[in-house]
Amino acid sequence: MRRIRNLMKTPEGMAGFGILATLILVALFAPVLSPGDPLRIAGDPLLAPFVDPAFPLGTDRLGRDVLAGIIHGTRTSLAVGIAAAIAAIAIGLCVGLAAGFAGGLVEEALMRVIDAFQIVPSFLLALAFVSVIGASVPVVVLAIALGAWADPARLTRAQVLSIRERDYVAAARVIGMHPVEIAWKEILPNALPPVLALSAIIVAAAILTEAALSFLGLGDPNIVTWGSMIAEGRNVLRSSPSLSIFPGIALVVTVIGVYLLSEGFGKTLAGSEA
Amino acid sequence: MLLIVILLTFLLLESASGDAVDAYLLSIGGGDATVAQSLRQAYGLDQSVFARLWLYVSSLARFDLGWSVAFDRPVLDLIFERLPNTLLLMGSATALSFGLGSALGIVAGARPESAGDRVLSTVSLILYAIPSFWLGLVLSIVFAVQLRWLPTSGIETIASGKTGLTRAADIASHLVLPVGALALIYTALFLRVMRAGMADVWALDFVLFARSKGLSRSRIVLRHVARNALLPLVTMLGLQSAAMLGGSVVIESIFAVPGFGRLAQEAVSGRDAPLLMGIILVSAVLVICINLVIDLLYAALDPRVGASEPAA
Repeated sequence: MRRIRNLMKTPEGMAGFGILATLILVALFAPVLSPGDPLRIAGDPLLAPFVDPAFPLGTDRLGRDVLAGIIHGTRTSLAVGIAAAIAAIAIGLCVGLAAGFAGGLVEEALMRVIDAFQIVPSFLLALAFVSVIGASVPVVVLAIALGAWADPARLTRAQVLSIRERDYVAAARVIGMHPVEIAWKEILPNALPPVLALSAIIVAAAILTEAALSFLGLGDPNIVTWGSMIAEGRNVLRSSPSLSIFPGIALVVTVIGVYLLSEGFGKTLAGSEA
Repeated sequence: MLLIVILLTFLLLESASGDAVDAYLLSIGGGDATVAQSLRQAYGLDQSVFARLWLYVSSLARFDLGWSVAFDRPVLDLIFERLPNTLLLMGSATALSFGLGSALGIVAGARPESAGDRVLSTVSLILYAIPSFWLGLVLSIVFAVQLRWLPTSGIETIASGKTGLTRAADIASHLVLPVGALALIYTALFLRVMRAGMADVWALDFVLFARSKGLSRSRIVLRHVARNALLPLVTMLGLQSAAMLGGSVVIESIFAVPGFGRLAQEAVSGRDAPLLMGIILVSAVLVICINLVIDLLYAALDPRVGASEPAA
């Protein structure tokens, strides 16, 4: 709680928190704000924005409400972004912990796997993964996590290597704790904070990757996403560019919110260390 | 390391439901089982996973990346045909973003917490949050559709018969928008890294010493602070090369640049496993090469790296 209160004192943290809280509320109450299926045909096709009060942001080629799409797209973007980040950090923590704690041959092997994942462009990997397995939300989440877990894994290992040598770990070993218990209870909680600091960047990157994937047509076709809305609007880019512009703005605002929050966190962490 | 990449991509593509023969039959409008069988035999798709993995790795050792099913051409030829466009795109975007980003970073970092610094930091935060594909679309709406200054797509005017300098100018005008879309985001990133690095260097003792010597402010900023802050930027350049390669996939598909990334998308839609594998492998090799160059560059920039060798 103290962290959050400190966070609110920085202007960045406050702005980021405000933006994200609003977006989360929109995502949670999407069915209330805009009832019904956002992919249903609601009105005349290609209504211009700011003309019809029933469709404030206009409609697309099939007459679907753009505002409803953006409201429901918030759900997908946030859910996929956060789920992918959680998955990436979970994998990264496990692998990093195992590598740092086991040492020797296991560490060597795991580090080479991390290297391998870091040299392959993660977007290409996600592209290949989704196209092979087929587009659905869990697959997209996994595909993004697959390209993002290497950084947290590397960081966790570095943390574990430095923590492993501390006295309290030696003490735990002396009193006969099981190595797994030491890793879980003594090392993990202390290795966690810097890795969590990375999480905001991963969430932002995951949201952008999800949008780019669905823009290329590799998203779940039954769910409205900002990326697919931009791709759909691209077909009529010359006559009604607003179809692509509005979901893009939503995307930019979301990512800015995440970055601001992470800047605020960075400042409070730096402040508490000083 | 590369072997792991090979193994993982192979296993990934192996788990796909449906192979290239299915995709091919679909595109020609179906065929009977014997045709499919003979096609599978011709491409070696009827053998076991391990036999094919061994076959693949052994042919890789002879720099043979296999045969693209969708294009019916050797994968290596296709990749080498498309790679120059992407390297041109990436190279110009890197040069632009590095130059512009570090220059603006120096401006912002010269006086941390000043008004100019705040404006630049805010702008860079917003730019950094913009997805490159959306930026590409907006740029093409503004400059190609509304203003009609620049072409919307392609790498050069088709069948224009231009040669020499006019052809170079033609390609350059086609590249302005994609390079701009790709570079702006990285400009923001480099600006932020440069600014943060300079803010750190300001606090160090040698800056105080330089100031006490009575050096002019601009000399301290350029020769002492900026030079030292440049190092993390160079590291970042290597780290981002993989991400930039991924970003060019989307950019190339927006601006219809016949490059490496577009090839990847075509491989995906054609279920062309050998091509997709070749692309992933070549991009991994590319990233390794870029990082090697960066490491060498780093040693040249920072005398503390590789100090065992006599200083040149």
